[in-house]
Amino acid sequence: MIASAAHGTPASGEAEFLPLKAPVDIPLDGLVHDWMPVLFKARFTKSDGNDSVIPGLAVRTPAGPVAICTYCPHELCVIKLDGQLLRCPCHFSLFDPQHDGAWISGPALRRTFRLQYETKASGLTVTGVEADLERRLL
Amino acid sequence: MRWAWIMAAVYTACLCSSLTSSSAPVTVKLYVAATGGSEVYVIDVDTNAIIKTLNVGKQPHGIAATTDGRWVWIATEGDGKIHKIDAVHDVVTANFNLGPYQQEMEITNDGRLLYTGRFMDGCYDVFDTKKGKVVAHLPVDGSPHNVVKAANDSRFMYLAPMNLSPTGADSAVAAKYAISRGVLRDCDGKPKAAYTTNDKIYVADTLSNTIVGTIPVGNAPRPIVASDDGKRLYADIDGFLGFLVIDTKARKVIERVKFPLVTDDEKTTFSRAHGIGITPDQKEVWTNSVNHGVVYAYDRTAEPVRLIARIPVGASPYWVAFSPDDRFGYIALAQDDAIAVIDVATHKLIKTISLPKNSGPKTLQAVAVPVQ
Repeated sequence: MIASAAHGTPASGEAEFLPLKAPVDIPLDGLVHDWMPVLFKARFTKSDGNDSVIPGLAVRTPAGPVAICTYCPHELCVIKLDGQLLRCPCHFSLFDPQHDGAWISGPALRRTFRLQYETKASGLTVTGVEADLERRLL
Repeated sequence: MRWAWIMAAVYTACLCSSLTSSSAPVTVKLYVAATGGSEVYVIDVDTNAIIKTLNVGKQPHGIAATTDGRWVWIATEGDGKIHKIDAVHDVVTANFNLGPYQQEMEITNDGRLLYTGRFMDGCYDVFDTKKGKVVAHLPVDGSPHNVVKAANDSRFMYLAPMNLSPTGADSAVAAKYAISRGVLRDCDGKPKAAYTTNDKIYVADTLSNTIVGTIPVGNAPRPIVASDDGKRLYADIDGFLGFLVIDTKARKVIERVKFPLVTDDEKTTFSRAHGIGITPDQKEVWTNSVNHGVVYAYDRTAEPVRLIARIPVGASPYWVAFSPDDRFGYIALAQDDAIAVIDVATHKLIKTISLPKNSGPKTLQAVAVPVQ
């Protein structure tokens, strides 16, 4: 049983989020095994009125299931799970999914863009995306 | 060896300036820089099979072949070296340490001068292949990445430095970080105190090894290509999903060509243009929408250029090359460890060549190598 937990709830000085047009539900039975990723797409409306679809990945880690936006913050290539790390195939930045997408090395120089999501007994529900990503997509 | 004799006849007939016009037999090989590892893959274009794997050094990035196809130079980003490859036997015969973050390269038609950029240093080096040393530096704004020439006359090199990151604000952050680590330097190796972003293409005269002009392009240039006659440049730039047509004589952009977005996926998913090439017959220019997985072919015989094909490749296209006989286009699928082979006549994807996992193929070049 997984206790309900919210991720990406902004505290003072932390990232702001933009709501998705529709929440993305990832059932827990798709996340049974550690390090078996489930890919998804999420849609939100930008401030210019146009929709943007972003790629994401949910995966169970030893610390529990997590959801990561898979745009590399460097050039917005789509990062992939490589063993227990996330790796950008374009310029080889590395990120740690067990630490909320923390930056490890490479030209990205920052953690992955945050997703706002909630972990419940039934699964994981993604509801928002870091507002800073929008600047890159306008 | 079917290719060898056919290609010799084709080259003799068309007198392709970038190739030998003698009747000597040649064989065509595709050299692929696997930036994710340390290898250069040599692919037989007849069979699309890897015939040799050269372990050259960490993160191979740049490729430049001599016009006679005898030698291929490779730059390795991770260890800052350039490597001279005997293309007949596919062996590394020499290497030279030029400093870290070597990127793309180009060589003069006489094979004498090699132009190569140091990404973190705002500097292009001019390497004399006969003397085996750097003979000149060309300081630029931004981060040296690409350099091209016109095949018919290599008098001028076009230098295209990009930025540390694709937006100005991010570049400033990246530069601050790089300066704090002491890895951002000038041509003489002294640490830099500041970083200037780049939004232009530099014109370098290979006779004087000086910058003789610039072409404003509005944002950081990415892959560029020159027509064989040197009259046009075509450039991918940051922040624009399409490409620019540049008049080199006037040194100005004469056309901004935006890719048509057709599907909902294309309209809502961010993408960028990266990778550009001209077919050897000079009729078409091809470039890519990376995240949309589409290669676009434009007729460049008329201006404005005209879209003639959009070619979905089912993966993320990157750098572009062509077989010298105009039959095949080769697109590096860097994010998928593969090479797409496209029939130029039909604009159809006909094969995907798989490469080892995490090889990250980027620049590639088909070279007509003399048979000995």
